[in-house]
Amino acid sequence: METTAKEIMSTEMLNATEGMTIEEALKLLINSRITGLPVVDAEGKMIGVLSEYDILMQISQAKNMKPEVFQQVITFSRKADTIAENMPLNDIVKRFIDSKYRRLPVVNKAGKLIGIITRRDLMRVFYYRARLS
Amino acid sequence: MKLELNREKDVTILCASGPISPENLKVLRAGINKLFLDGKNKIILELAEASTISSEVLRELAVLNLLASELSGKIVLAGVDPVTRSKIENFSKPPVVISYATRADAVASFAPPPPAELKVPSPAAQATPATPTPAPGKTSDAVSPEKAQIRQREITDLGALRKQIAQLEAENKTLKHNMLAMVMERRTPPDADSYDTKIKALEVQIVELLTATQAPAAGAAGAVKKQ
Repeated sequence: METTAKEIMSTEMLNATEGMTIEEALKLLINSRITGLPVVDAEGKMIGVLSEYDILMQISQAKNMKPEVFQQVITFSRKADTIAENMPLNDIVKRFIDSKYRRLPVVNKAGKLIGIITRRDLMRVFYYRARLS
Repeated sequence: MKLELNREKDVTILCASGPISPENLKVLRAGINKLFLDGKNKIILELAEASTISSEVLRELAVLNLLASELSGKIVLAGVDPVTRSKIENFSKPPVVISYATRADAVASFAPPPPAELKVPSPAAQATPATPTPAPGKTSDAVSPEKAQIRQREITDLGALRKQIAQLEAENKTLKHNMLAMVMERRTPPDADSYDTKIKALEVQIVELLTATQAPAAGAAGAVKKQ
């Protein structure tokens, strides 16, 4: 049976929500040591991606850096590449190569965010394939 | 043997039903290998129905655990009865695989350390005047336990090195004395006075030889003159 995204993905993931503030997003990104987050709506459906760049851009557009600025709701990119949960391994690798992303969210048929696959996850798969082949 | 797969907090839980016979071990190994091939190396093995675990199984688990740990993962056991857990813990030191009484404990063992929170200084802390920073080269009074430990180790090591240096210097002195004694013993004659005596004897010998060679020549010259 071919390995699919659902088997490789990590389900322990962080995400931003639509109504999150800049301050909350900053804390999450810094403490988790990540550079980006998928953004989901109230139903868990993926609606975009928030990156460090988006936050910096939003802050830079503010007239000043008073605390109120950081209470604004985040703006994020609505365009997001995703992987279907039943996508086979070869296609996943190809997607990573074509897009050059470091991580890609995995969604189910309903578009709900169910996991995330990183380059590190793929490298782990390759390592064990090398060791066990 | 039946294998059931669950997932909790990014940890894969493999529930194995049935005893662990040599045949079942193959099934178990195949199941774990499949997880590795999917990049899953954080595995909890629930062997609730295994009343005993043989040494062969433990050795196999040790190998698989090592494979998992090669990429910072691990395999742990959960739901094992206390007698079997004791057997596992005594099989080797340290144990080849860690076992937990419950699944929750096993899952918790995979939890990463909590991230450092951003600390916003309180207004009280901001109001106090800043303490003067120590001058360069001077150590701060508040030395961390790790630094104190390192310093203590350095002092101990330095003492040992000094002792070693003193021993080597004493040995060096002894060796020099011995070498001088050997040289003196090999000399013939052994000292300066003896050399003087020998030189004087040689000088006397030279004078005698010269006298001896010059005397016949003087006698022959006198004989020729008389004629």
